[in-house]
Amino acid sequence: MNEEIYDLRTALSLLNSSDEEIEIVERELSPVREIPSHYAAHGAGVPNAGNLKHGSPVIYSNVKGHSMPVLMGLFNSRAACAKMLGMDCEGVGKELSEYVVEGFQPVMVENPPCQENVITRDIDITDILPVLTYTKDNAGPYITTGIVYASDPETGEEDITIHRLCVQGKDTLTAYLIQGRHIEIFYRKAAAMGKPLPITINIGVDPAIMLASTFSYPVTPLGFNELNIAGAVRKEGVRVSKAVTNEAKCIAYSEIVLEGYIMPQEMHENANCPEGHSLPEFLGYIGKAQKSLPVVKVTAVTYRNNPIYQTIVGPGAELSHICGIATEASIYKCVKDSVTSKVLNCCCSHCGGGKLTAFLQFRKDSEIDDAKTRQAGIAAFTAFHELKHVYLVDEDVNILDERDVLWAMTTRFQGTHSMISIPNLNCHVLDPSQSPEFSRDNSVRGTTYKTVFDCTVPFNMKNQFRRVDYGW
Amino acid sequence: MYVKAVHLGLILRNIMMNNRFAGKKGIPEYWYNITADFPEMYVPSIDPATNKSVTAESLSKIYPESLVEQELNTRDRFIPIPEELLKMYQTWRPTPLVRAYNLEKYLQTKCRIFYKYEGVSPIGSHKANSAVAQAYYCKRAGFKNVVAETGAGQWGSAISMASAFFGLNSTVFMVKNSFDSKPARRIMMQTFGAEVLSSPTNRTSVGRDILQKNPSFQGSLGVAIGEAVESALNDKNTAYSLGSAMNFVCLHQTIIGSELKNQLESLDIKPNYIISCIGGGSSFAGIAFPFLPEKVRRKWDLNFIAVESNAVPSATKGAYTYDYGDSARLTPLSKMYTLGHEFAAPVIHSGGLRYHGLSPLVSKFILDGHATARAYSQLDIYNAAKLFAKCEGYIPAPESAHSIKAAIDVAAEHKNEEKNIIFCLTGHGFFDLAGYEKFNSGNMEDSSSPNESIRESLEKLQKSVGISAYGQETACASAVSGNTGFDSWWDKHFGGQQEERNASFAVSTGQKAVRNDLHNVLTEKKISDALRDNQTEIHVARSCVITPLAQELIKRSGIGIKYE
Repeated sequence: MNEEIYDLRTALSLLNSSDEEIEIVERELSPVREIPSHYAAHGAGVPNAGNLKHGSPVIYSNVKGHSMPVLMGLFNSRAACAKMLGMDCEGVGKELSEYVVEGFQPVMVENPPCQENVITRDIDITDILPVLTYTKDNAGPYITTGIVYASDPETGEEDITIHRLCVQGKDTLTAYLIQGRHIEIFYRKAAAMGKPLPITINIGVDPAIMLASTFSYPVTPLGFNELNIAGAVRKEGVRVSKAVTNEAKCIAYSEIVLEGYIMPQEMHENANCPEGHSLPEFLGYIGKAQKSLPVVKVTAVTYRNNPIYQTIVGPGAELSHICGIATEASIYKCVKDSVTSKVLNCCCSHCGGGKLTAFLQFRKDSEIDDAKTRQAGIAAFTAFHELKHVYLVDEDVNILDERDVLWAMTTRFQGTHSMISIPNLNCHVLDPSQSPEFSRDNSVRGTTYKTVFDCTVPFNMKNQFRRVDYGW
Repeated sequence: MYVKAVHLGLILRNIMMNNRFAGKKGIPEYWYNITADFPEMYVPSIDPATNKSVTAESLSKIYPESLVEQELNTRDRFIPIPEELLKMYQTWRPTPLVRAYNLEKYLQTKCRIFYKYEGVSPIGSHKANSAVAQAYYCKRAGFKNVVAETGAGQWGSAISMASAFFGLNSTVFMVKNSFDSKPARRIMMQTFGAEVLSSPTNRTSVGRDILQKNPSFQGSLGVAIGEAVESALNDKNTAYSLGSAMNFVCLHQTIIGSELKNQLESLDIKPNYIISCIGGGSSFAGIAFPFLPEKVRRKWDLNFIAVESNAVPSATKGAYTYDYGDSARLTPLSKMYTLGHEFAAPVIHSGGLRYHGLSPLVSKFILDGHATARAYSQLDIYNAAKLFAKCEGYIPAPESAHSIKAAIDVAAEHKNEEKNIIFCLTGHGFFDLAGYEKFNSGNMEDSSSPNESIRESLEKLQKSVGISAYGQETACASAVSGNTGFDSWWDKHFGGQQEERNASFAVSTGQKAVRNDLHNVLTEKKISDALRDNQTEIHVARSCVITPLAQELIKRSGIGIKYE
């Protein structure tokens, strides 16, 4: 089954044939707020406001003003994510960590399907693609599943990363490149040379590529092309091709590819209101528009016959899975390699958008494991620098269910000594509590107290914490 | 008994003169801005040109700056009324609060029924409260002309009078149906010096379009608004004035409720029911808004009832969503209860209630559960009007009769309880006597709810307003049911050009080759299938990728691969 998936279509087909429900909405809805509103009501899940249910994937087949259907929610359930990777639902992150290897380099192919249709003149992005405007406060329409594929202008090393891309004009985007992300480093290097950075933006790809793209350092350091991970999962290199209008590469089986350059120039993200908003961000807040972002000039739009436009809403179960599964893999791998083999599993809860919160599960075999477990909690922060809270739980807790974790916290946690909190550590700027205004201990925005909540039973007290056993 | 009722009104008026809560002249000196106390009430309107919230700049094209400030102000709880306006208000304010003893007696109810009578203004309705304010700000902003629309003629009369007070020229687009059936209102406006036009007219493109499509169109408030807005947009010396719906109109009308509050306080009466009719919603806003803090924060046992015609039931049968305020779609999109801007309201005698939408503030007030809405038919309200006239002497405007009907019903519902019921008698019905004649002669047709037209209109709205679903989360969610299945979508989307779904490895190989029989990716499974079918050769595209497992199986099985 695993090798049968190599693009979005085969993934959809697999989900359908394995009885995962895929909703088709035939009612005409506009890409301007109607589809996001519908999707939120359908069930985008925590941390999105509204319906907290994890709704099934939805295909909007009748998009106002467009012939392309819009797909949302493909990654909305952990089970679907696991299925599309050919892995077990519970341990999908853990299993994915085994595939963080180099050796499945992308394979070049010619005449890629993504270039079945090529537009290089009179480009008008929102005319060609049903790019969604999510809320009334949006800075503009946003491409949210665009995998940016680029090469280091000095070394030629490649990288893929998802960046939010705001449509600013017919052939113009802005890209929010968070400092330190690899594409951002490539861009800085190119800008220092006074050159634009050639890129492709790949929309609608094999889910393995999407999930691989969210790995970051230190698990995938600069120079590690995450396409290797997707290749390893599929046991063959991801097929890539030369772009039509620049020297970058594109993912051959993308539904849609935008080719272009990140220019050495910047502009306001929200051109109408520089102090205004951007889009709903992954932690559930409406984001602030960035004052200065690199401009992307699009030189070509290519797409497959009968393309499907895939997108996600910032906050919700879908993005939490996309971010979380890779984070789980990173934390699990790091903790297991560097601290203790007693770690059983890792789950990055939706409440942290898949990044800020992790549940780590352990089996304790001796007293020293009490200490090792806590040390593993601290090591998790090293595995993933955007992690804020770690909950340590025992093997009898279901770490896929936040309610069970909270039960453990309620009955196996004492505020006096079960908590380790370290101030002023680097974390994530999109968490509004991570600011000096919120706590004087935060030196700048994006710094925070990182906290380990030890909700495990001390080894010597295990007998006093026996869960009810009904013997099934 | 009648004398007693008026006497109470006069007493209250006198009390007002010395009330420390009222201004020096007995009139509140501030308008009450509900959005400062209850910020959730403010839902910004959207400029369809930018799909963003309306800005002061866009509103300033047709309104004076001060009104735009008031429209967008969510900061100041009390907005001072300019001294010049206070002097003007003295002409008819404070308006009397009258206890309807005779009506109470007739109904044999223990409830106390009061009405706040706004018909004492020179033009006979509450509309004067905002008209003088709008004309004042237009004059101060340097506009020469004021343009307005009017349904029943009350707003037209009010703005014509106010324009005359401030030396402004006024043009009124009067809905054709009223223009023909209510000559007295037209004459009144002309007496104030206004130019009165029967809408739709040939003067605007909005009117011409409508007339071209339907030369016998009887007009609607939505079309008249479109004509007035177009006129204002085309002339920088002309300001548009609107008699209802806008936040600043609601603000001006709060003088009714603030004044009532003072009157009740003087008598140590706490209201249990406050009632007013809703067309655009300004009289309701005016009498109800100043009492919301009492209901919410001081936990008064207070109920607000908004009453509409069953022929135009925006609050009881409409959708709460974004819609245009006019048929021509020249106004911003406001989030409100609406029947759709293309809704053709049936002809009823309560012309002032024939509006497809409702003030966004009043809509939110109802949506948030602060008020309940009721709808009555034409015969219901005329029966109530006649009873009221016989008991109290005042002949009410048919719009106001909706409130009377609701008050009577509430008094009957609480027959044995001592509830204080207060309704706004928004205006007198001296210009509506033709309707009464029809009613008295038994020739009046009853109105009914045009459910089919409403459904069609709301469907059109969904199609025409790009953001209609934005406010319709629940409706959207329910729309998910009834979807077609994935399989039929797949077949339709790929329309036969795509290979069959379960064999989707045979993806076409680029613009040069659309050969469905060629494999572009050859997998182990495909080869296994071919071997099972006893094939000895597989045809693949030149660029075909053969997976590692497939390569092993090719070697093991010896199956031939032919590139094409």
